[in-house]
Amino acid sequence: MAYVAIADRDHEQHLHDPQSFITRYIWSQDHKVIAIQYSLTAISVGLVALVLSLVMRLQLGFPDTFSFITPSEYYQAITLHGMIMVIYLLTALLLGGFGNYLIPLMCGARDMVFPYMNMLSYWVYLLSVLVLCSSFFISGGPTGAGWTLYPPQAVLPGTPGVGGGIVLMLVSLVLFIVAFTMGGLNYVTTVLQARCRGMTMMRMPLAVWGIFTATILGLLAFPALLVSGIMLLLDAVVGTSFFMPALLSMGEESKHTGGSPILFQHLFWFFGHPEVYIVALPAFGVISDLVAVHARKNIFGYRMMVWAILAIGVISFVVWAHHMYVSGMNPYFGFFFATTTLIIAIPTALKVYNWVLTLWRGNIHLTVPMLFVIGFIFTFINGGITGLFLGNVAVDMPLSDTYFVIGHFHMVMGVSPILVIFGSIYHWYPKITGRMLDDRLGRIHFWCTLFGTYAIYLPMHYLGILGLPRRYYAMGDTSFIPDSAQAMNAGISIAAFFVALSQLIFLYNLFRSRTHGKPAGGNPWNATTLEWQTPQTPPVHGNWGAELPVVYRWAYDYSVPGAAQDFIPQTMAPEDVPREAGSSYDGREGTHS
Amino acid sequence: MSLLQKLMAKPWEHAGEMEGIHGGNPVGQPAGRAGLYLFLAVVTSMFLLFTISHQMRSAYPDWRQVSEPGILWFNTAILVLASITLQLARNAARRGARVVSRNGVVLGGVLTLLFIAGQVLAWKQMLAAGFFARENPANAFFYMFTAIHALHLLGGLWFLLGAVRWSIRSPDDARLPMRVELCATYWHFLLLVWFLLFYLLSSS
Repeated sequence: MAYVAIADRDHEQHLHDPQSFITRYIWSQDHKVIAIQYSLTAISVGLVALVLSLVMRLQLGFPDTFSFITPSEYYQAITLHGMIMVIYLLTALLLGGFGNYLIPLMCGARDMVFPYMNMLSYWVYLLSVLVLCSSFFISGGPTGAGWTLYPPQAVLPGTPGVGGGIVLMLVSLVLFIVAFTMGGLNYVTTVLQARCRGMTMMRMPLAVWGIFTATILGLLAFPALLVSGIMLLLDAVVGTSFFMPALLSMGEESKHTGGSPILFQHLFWFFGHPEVYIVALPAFGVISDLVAVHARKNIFGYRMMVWAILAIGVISFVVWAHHMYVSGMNPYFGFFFATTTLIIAIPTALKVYNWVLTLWRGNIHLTVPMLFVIGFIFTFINGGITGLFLGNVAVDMPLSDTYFVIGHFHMVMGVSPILVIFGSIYHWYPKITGRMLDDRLGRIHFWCTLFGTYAIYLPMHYLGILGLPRRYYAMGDTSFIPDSAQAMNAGISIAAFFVALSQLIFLYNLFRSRTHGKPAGGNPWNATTLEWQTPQTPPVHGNWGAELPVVYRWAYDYSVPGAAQDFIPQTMAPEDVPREAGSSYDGREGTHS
Repeated sequence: MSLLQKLMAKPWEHAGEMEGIHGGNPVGQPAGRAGLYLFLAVVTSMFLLFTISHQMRSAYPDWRQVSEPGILWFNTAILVLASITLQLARNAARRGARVVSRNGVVLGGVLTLLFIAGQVLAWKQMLAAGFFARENPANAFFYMFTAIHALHLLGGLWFLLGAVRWSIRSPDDARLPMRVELCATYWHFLLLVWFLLFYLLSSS
């Protein structure tokens, strides 16, 4: 029976050809346009979060200098910075942006399986961003409860934004989760249902595996944030006592009775820890593809990489309470969660070894994406190892709520995924726009970002070991903190401004190369995966022209002995593979390490 | 091929091998059905977490049992009827009895609206009896559970309405039975969720 790809069956999917400017670029159902919409919105709101971090650094580096930064504004800045970066930038960009762009192209589909819902997903996401940002303009401003929004202080008088700010934050989160669910259902179903002929699950690039698994994690973990968000919203607005305990606030007895703040923490972190991997797994997947392409070598241990992604996904649901060691939990609980935390390090370390072993004796091309790959591997190792410290109860206790924690999670969850995002943009920009980003500007951007971020976050580990507490507006006269700590804080702030300004190079490159960049051609990196084999660059609506591609091999046939080229596209049949003169290679067996 | 066998495959071998390899749709499910099952997993996760929260919170000493309004039993019966009606509509759609199927879908929708109206009445009775949400967490859970469950039904009604409009505009559309089937599955699922919520509300 002739195979008919599901994406080609009329009764399964209509392509919704755009008829006008509005349906092409605004109410678009094309996954590529939606990906760009997601990405531009996420980057824009990420820039807001970047500015907020500079406000924080001004205060921390030069206390008592800037009168416009009050304690309330400082707390609002740290809260919005954290929440925006984790949810509205990283999650949205890696899944809504990269997921939307890459899944259909890498799987050989014409579009997502539910394009209308995909479009709705973006517009609800935009609404969530607008609701969040509107809290800057209301009386009292946005919430300053810290990004974890812990009750009871999140809804008590005295916390900035306790009126409308916290309500808008929670409503925005609920909207975001609705948007994510609509998008996530699309990503997973498309991977399961709309792959082209020959694209078995184990022939999928690891980028798709990473995004696919992270989306499943998100679909199962975001409900915890939804549940806690709804209940906290009711505590704040209606006056219920799900989380709010009976207490005295501002000298008066509160109206709440006996709620459980710890219950909120459990729910929040049941979402919060998988969230780390919702961000990390797409980054792991993407980096695996980038390292193979730019080292001209098949990924080391492909099957292990897939298994590690799945193992990390499963284990990430049983480590959440390592964020709560200081909450007074039963020591046996602490022991359990410390053990699972150490166990999850095994598949994670396995991936790091495999990236390094892919580089080993590879034909390394030090392109800009490859620089970001190497930067990521270094940074992830740094951040990962400090995670082993914090995963142990006895070590975590003194380090909890210090700058050591800030240094750790910014290395592992801030800088690492951002390096992957930059590397990916340099890698896929030629496919998205048809033009190359400027190489020289890219290299300057890389080195400024890498050195700058290390100048920010490495010293924070030292400050944390000194005992410098996080979240403090000012340290005051604290005997155990030496004067040198303040000097270091000033240095960190200068580095933060340096990094922030160096991003202007990237933005300039992004916009200038759109019109002035070198024409890229269809496959400038000589990559094997399907997105580089589209008939047009940038790919047009429907991606593939009249016929869907057919996949004959896995995604990592690089430098195959006997083949004339150092890459064999996934769409190339064995009999079509150009061979070296005198080679007995039959075009079938790939190399594998 | 089992999932384990798939994950054990060595993709670097046998390039060009296409026999038995079909790419997408590996489980033989239409995309709509797969998407719905996935959505039900998400909703299950949410209600499971609500259930855990309810159980943890109910262990605190300030918890006072709600005496749930008797109308909830009547509402439950209505929702059971709605679910049965949609199942009959699904069976009718399968065997091509389009008009019967459409009438079943419409009746299922009306019964669902009746259920929601009954829930609103239950709210009114609770409020009239002085069981306010802020007075006690058990009351708060009652309002929250019933509201969230009703919201899911309203979302389902939107799709149900779409199925009715579709059946009027293009009664011969081959996709229609699938749409009715998805609605019926969703209703059965929400009926099970309601059984769970009703049990929680009346037992703790």
